[in-house]
Amino acid sequence: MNRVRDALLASVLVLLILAAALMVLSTGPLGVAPSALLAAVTRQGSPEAELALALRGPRLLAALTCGAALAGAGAGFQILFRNPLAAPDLLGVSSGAGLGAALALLLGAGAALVQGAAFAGGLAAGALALACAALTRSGDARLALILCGVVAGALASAGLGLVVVIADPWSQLPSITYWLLGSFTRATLPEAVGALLPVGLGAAVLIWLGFRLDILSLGDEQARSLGLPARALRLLALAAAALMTSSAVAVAGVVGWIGLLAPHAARLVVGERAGRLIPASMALGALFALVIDRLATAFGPAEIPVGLLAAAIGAPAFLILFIATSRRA
Amino acid sequence: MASNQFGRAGMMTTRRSALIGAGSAITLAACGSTPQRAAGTVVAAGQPAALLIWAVARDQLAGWPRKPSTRALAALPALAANLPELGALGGVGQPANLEAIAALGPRLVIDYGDTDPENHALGDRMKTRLNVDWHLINGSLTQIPAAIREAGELLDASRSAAGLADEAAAVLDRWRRAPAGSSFYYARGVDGLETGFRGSLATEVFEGAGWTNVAGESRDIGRVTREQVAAWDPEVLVTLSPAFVTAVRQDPVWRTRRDGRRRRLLLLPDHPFGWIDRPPSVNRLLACAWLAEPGGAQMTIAGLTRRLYGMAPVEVALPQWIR
Repeated sequence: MNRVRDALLASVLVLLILAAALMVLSTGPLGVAPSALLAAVTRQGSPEAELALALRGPRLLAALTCGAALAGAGAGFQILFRNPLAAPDLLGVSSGAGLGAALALLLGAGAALVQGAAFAGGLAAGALALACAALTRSGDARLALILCGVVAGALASAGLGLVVVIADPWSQLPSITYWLLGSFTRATLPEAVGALLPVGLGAAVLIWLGFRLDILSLGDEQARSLGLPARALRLLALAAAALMTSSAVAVAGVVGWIGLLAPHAARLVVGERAGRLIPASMALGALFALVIDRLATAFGPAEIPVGLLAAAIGAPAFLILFIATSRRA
Repeated sequence: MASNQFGRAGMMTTRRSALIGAGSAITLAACGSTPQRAAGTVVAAGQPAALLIWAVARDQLAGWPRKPSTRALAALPALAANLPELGALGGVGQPANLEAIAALGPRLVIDYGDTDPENHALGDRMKTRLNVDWHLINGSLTQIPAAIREAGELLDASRSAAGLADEAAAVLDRWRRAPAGSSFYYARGVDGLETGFRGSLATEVFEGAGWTNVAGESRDIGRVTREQVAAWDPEVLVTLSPAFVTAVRQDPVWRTRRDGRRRRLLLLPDHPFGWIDRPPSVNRLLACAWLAEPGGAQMTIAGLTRRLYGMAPVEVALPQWIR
């Protein structure tokens, strides 16, 4: 019965994502009809249709990948820490990525280098948090990780503040600000495709860990009593989540709330078990990212930063979900 | 005024030559020992005012609201590097430490920008707090000659300012009469997705020369999508960013027009200061001069560069059409 329900649920999610993707692909300022886009896919379309496909395709891919990555990482963190407020930035990864990108922009680097610096910055912040936590002898490993993540994030935020102070207010500062506010539109095809590998790898690890994450969430002693190497598995899960977050932030900038909201929404539908929660969260995260990406350009030629939209929609939606969950409980 | 000061100091021997080549660069070479001198007593409220003071009487500038980049300093007279960074007294930029400004004992603060009530109120507040004269000069592009004359009077450099103002007026006159240009999109930032919308300060130089800014329906500076740029279908992409030029070279979609033709890409110089904004000050005259005569303004640009920025070794790049 469960399998039928899962299959039905997966079908509904896939259909919703396909519908949203079609909406994103078939609407835009160029005004190219879906049939013309279809012809462009087979290289038989007009130059305008091929142009629209070349612009909308990477954007769609970036939104799908980043939304799924942030939501999957968020779900992983929430399971590992048994904390509903855990989000992809728990280890300071988003702040580290922001610092990396801002430094690259300060030095006048091109778009590809900015993306690389953001990715490296995110991983560096995550590695710093993990290394610091490993040095502590706290009895509560999760608490140590949270505190070290706060420290890594604060250090990265301080560095980012310094970069903002140093940046030329006429040229560099606007670029840094816009980068930090998030956007899927700057992604080129190589950048969007490039994010697929690390995100896919991270997601595969988290999904493979599945029931082990559930056991880890009960605490190290229980995990060890069941023969699981708690420390190593936790490190693997955190590294996978940090990899996914870094990749997403490198492509889209800092887009919050997806990693918090999507797992909560998914939990209402599929329950707490990691093997179902993580894929469902990724699907809902991708859907949410597509919706905010479409809204970002729906109100005129100027793009509304997706980070702002994610917060404006995500915060009240999270509150509604929270109230609904608490009433059900 | 500034050159007189250097002359009085008697420490600078200068051999200057202007080499106008067929290529894309003008070289104004000079060499000489550089005097170490004290900063002046006039504070610029912001970077636009600093460039105005620098052009009219650079010896009187007390410091930079924001110190120019190392590359820009290398192109400017050594005095530029000797001036301290003071911060801005309003508007864009890191705020100045008022106590440090007061400690300099300035005789005058010059602000250069919008003459709106907000800036007047800022001046009144600062005048009271710093107990120093504060003068706001109209920063609009077409008023640059008047602004130079006004600054000359305030800085006791009326004679040299009058020469520069006349040159600026002649440039603006030719700029106003320039033949209509192409439709353009101003790509700011490394990803080119920030732009100045029609009527913004950032695109005034091109629009005034008869070019059509495709970015409408919004105001000032904003961010747009790549598809929006494609839908506007500008004939030319204008940028100050070499990093954006690199990005365009790697991604042909940027240069593909709706009908499949190739879009042109124009890289404007960004050093020592931007040609169309960054900051919006007298530096914009260079773009006006080029737009007035895209093929024959080398001498004018060489002369303006010398008058606006000084006589130190400097290489001024000209706008480049990127292939």
